[in-house]
Amino acid sequence: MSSDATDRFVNGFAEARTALPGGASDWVATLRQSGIDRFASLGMPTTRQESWKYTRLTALERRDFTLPVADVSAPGLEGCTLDGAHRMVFVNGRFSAELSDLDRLPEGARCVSLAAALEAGDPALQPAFTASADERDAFVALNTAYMGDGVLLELAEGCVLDAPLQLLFVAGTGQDYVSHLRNVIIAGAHSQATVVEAYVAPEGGTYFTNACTDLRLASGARIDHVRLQDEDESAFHIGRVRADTGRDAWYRSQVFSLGAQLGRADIDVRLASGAECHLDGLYLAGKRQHVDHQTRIDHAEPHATSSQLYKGILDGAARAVFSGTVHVRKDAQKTDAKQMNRNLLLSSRAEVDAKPQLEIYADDVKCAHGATVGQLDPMELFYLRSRGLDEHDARQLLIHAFANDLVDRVADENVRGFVYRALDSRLPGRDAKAEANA
Amino acid sequence: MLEIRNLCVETDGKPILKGINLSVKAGEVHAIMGPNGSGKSTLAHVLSGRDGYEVTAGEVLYQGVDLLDRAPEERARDGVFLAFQYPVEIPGVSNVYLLKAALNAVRKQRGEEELDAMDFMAYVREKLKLVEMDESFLSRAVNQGFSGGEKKRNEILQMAVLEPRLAILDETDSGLDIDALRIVAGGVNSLRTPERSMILVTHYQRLLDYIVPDHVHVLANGQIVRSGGRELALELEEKGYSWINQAGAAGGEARP
Repeated sequence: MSSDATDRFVNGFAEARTALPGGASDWVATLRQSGIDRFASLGMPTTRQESWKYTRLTALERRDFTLPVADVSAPGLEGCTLDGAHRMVFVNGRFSAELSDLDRLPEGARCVSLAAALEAGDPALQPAFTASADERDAFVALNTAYMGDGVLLELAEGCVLDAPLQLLFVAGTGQDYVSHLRNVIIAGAHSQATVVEAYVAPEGGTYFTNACTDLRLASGARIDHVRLQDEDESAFHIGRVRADTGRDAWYRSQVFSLGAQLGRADIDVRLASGAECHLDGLYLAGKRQHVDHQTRIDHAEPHATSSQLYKGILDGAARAVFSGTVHVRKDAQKTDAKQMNRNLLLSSRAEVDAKPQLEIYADDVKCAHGATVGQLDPMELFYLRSRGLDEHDARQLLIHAFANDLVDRVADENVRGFVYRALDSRLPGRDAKAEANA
Repeated sequence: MLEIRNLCVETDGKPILKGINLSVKAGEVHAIMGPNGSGKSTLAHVLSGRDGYEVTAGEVLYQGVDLLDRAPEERARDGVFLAFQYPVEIPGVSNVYLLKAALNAVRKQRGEEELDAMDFMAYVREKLKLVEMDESFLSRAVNQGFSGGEKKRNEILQMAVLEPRLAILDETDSGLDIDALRIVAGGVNSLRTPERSMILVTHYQRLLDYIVPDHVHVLANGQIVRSGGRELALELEEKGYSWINQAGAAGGEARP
């Protein structure tokens, strides 16, 4: 399947590759080539594919995105940084050592820019990129071909990161550029870390972020992963997270998708015996924004636990998709899997497609799923108004309550505050209040 | 304080209240009793401004001003309080947040300064004692996971915090065991003042053993069919409501 957009990315590769990091390393060159070959054969996804059924890429395909220019002025980072965190800052998809703060990393934690690791032909990287030929996701294949920067985080066995690591991806000035970001997190046995990926655009702009984060958790490792997508309303964001857990590992993902014209965030987790994963998600969309979240949990082995809670708040003529697949293999006895998707519609023009899918091949398992779509409860509104809150405040309070449920589950206090602030400025209704007061 | 004149109310085109007359003066406690479906709760809802009711005739004056035109929050800020028969659970909103937001909305209306967090906590701690609730209730989500008795106590706590001029208690006694009833009634009694009026809507006489009313009215088929003093409640206790249908509209002396 070929489209103009597919051709543009494929044809542009020959010229672009010379400027991409790692050009001197044979295995990197081979890897990139395999990525573009795979992308060429897959092509841009279309709505004929099941996982893209409700998400059209026409608006993205219409634009001719170029790779970002090397020198960009860094925008102000006020309000974007996380207090007390180790920090890596990327501006327009490129690492900025100057804006980053990695001086206090504990022993056993290695955190370098992916571009530097690729340039150095870092031996830790190669095993993280295998089997590109089998890649079924076109955007991951494209990412493998073009990946420009990101993080390589390695935690040695037993290493505990004392403070969260913030990966701050800042959109700088400029229009119509694409950043292919790749993060690789390799967590040794019984290591532990909180990683906060934040995508922000203090100055707005139309651009395309194609980000992929690969995590490998050795046995007993614990990774708390918060992903905040707080970009401009005209931005395009395709995000991929793939986590492969070892025995008894623990992985939690908390996704907050607050902005973008078109936002997609997929998570694939493979659970080994006794491993646990918890996937939370909150998406907000208004106007004509489109958000699509898809999760796939592979209960590959027995005694693993998974839980998912995704919530959406939709206003205007926004459209949201949630598709969650839980696959329980034949040998994965004693699996415990829960999935819930709740949606709050604030407008009659907003739409949700919720698609839970359980594929269970084992016979001794506990699996539950559910999906709800509803409006603000009139009795709750009346109750609040009967206590003196005006209608607007009562609505706001209920919308916040719906969302805060997920924010409250963020474990680290600083991270929680960081997410609260981002969310608070985005929740629907604020503008109306400001206008009413004007 | 409150003047209800010939109030007629329909819901879904069906007449529920058919000409209610009631006058409540400052400091008075009125009990409105009646069988199920008599319109008791409708009266409470209409006074608090709940949607879904159409007033087809009559008027309600609160402190001399038309009440029915006003939004629920305006009534609340002006001192009208409804204790719900079925208090609503609001997940994600803490009790303390609601109490503070409500109190500050009311204080603003009264031209008083908003309370800061410290002063508010000191204020609310005193109120908690009235309904024998401990502080852990404050951080819990509004009514979520509360027992029946806890929900009703929480309503009285809100009333204590908001200090209304007119409190309407809708079946506040229903579903309470005797201990909870004593606590709730104790809370209500401690809030009786010469300025504050109360309307107790109840099916059972039992509540009136604990909160002694000044006036008792019997509501049946959308009309007040009898009014009297405390002794009327005892008579109802003895005879039940079955006599009402025979007495019918003829028994109606609506003036308390």
